[in-house]
Amino acid sequence: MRAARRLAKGEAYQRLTSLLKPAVIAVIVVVALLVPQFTDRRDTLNLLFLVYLYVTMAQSWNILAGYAGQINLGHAAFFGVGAWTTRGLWTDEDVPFMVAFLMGGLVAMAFAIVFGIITFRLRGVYFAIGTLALAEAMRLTVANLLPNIEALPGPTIARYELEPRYYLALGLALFAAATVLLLPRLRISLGVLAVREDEAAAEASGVNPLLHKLFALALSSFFAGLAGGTFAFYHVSYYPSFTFSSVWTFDAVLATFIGGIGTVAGPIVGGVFFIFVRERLAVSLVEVHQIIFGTLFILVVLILPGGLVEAWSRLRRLATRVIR
Amino acid sequence: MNLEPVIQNLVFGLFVGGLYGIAAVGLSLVFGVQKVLNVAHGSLIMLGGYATFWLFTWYGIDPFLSILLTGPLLFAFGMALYLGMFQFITRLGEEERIKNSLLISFGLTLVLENVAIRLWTADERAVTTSYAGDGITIEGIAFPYTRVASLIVAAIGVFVLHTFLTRTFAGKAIRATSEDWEAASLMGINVQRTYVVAFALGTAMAGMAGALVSVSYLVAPSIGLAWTLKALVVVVLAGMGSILGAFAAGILLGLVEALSIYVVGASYREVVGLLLFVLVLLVRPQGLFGRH
Amino acid sequence: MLELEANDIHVAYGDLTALWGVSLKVHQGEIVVLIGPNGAGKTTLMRAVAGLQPPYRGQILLDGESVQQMRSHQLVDRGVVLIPEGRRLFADMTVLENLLLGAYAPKARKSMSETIDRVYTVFPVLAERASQAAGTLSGGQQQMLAIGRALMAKPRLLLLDEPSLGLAPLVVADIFDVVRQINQEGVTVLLAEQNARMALELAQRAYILEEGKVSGEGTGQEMLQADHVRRAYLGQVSPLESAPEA
Repeated sequence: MRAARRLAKGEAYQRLTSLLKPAVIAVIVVVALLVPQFTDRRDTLNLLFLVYLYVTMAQSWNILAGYAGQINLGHAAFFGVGAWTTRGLWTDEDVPFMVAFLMGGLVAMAFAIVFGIITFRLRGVYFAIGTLALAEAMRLTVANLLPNIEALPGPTIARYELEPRYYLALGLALFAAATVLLLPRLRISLGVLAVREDEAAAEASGVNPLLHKLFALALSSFFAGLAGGTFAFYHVSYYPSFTFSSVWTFDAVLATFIGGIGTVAGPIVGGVFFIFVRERLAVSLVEVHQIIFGTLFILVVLILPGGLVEAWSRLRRLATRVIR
Repeated sequence: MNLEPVIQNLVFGLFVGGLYGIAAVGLSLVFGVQKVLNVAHGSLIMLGGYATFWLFTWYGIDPFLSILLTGPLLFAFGMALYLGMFQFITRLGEEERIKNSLLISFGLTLVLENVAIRLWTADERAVTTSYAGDGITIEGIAFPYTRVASLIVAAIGVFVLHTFLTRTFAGKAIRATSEDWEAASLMGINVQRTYVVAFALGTAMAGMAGALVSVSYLVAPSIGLAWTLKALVVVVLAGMGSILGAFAAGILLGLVEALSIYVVGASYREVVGLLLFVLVLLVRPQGLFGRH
Repeated sequence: MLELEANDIHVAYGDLTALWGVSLKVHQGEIVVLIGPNGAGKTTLMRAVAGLQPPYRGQILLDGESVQQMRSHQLVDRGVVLIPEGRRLFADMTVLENLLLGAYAPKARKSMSETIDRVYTVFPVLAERASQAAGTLSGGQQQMLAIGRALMAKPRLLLLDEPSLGLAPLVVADIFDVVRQINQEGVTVLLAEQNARMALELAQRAYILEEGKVSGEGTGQEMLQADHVRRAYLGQVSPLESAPEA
């Protein structure tokens, strides 16, 4: 009798928690959408903008790293290509922004496919260092070809409003999260996961590793490119070579690992954590946040591969055991 | 055509190449022996550079002589790093080990770079000795003392390491471990201890390279990544496991970079190395002198 | 007086268990042989005794001391030396370097020069080719180098894993003669072999290992006569037939 009652209680608890998760997410999204309506504070909006941007970068990197199992250290190149395309089309060619924005993602994707066809011939860690080298080569080349600061024209600055930037970044982050959530439901994901687990075995069963890796890369670079476009929309002036800097890769890597690689929530948690800690410490102890992230990163790799997300779920399991 | 500037350029390429060689040797050793890819190697070079700079600034010790101090200092630091961090991944299989060593050494780079900023600020430092501007001139080609000394010291360092590995019992044990750690273990070789020594040696070599960097280049917390990449290029060019080969490949890279400025222009000098790196990875992954 | 005892050891590679509760004993001065089919676990057992593959359950006792969690170099120091399957010489190093490395352990290093003289006496061909790269030797010579290298460590218990692998029958006979000689000088031997006939003729005692378990035990002669052994491992149906083995 007692066992049956405990079972019923357990079931009720399960039902409650499964309703709770989407409810919490819905609340967070609604709050995020409403923030600009309730506050004019630039620093809040800027902070949240950065959060959304970093979440997107982390999420997009995770598509190739967690989902497809490839550590790409050239992610910044796609960000840079997206930024350059969007900015160029929007400011120089007078293309309507949303078109330029979309083109940023598409051009980054096209570039990535070429990039991938070359680099996917390398495996494992050689792929990682090969992509890093190529991305650095691109940064140096861009620094040579476009050494001057890229600034918005006067009239555009005059019309500058923070709100649309905020919503663009938020929308992109939501779009990226939704895509990652839906990915496992696609048939192609079976192939991608097979390649991730054991490329040779996958190939032997008739799965084409290159095509599946390119698929993940295309998605990854598309979002990175869009993130670059968002950056180009947001910043009044910047050095083009900065958008190709490896910090964009490494920050995404840090955020993803610390948050939890291979999960949907991981990059989100990691991105939020990353920006909040960074901005909190930015005033007083500038470098400390990097030391913290570096150390956390090492700890995650050595001890807790699932990152903060795994730490959280372990704590929860511990808590439920205590409660019952 | 006036060949003098070309030859001068090549001569400087030779000097730079020697530095590239010794920068790479430590990385090659560690990867060859225990399949650990330490991308913080450049940051260790940076630390060696700072050690040299402070010994020079506070105590006036000549940068080439202070290697006798910074070498052991970084050897000890390398031991601490290995025992504190890298030893925990050596129980993994080769592929996992390489991947995880890449990741944790990336974290280490961040930590080292930013600790350096906190301690010494982001300002660029260089060691300027009293004889910095002097040199000898042969047939119109300048041979600055500092550059010549750097090349000689680099060559000596590499040669000493090579001799240690090939002629001493401990060195042969390291090579045996690198070739087949299980067989080495069956000889009574303490493989864990060998790994510590190899890693510490690699760090000491990085320290030595750092000393030379402080004289011929600039030392700043951010130089880590660039030097790691440079060392990686040389290691891949040479092929894993070849110490003398790494030195030769370093010189080769220095000369190729020097010549490349006539083809693509000086501002693309670094790009040449990186593209060559990817090319070698794609076409001849075992490198020019590699074993398998 | 050397005593090796394995008690109910279980060894696994990751999730895959290779040995299920294996027990055996080796006494001072014996030649004990392990026979059994490919994949039965002979190599796993040898590796476990040598410290390369610690068992997750069970004990290995050497002279009463519990050694199953010790690493190989610690076992070499206690006189347990394995010549692994495929020999695993350092191919790029010379014959001499391989031999010297065999004496790396501190106890062995002290008597290194006299041991090497002895090895050269047993294997004159190694003296001839001392400065040749180990990878350039023939199969039989490599096996001799492998044994010589193991002898440099001054073993009390010599473990041999498939010494006949890839060698011509005449060469195998020579190798087994050497093993007999070494044993007569006081070294205890544990030998895992596919070539059951030659191994059983050499052995005092033998164990059959099948699918990770000990399925039979006895003296060398008993094994040579046993029906099951003859059928499975000696290629014979009855004691009167003598079919040539592969």
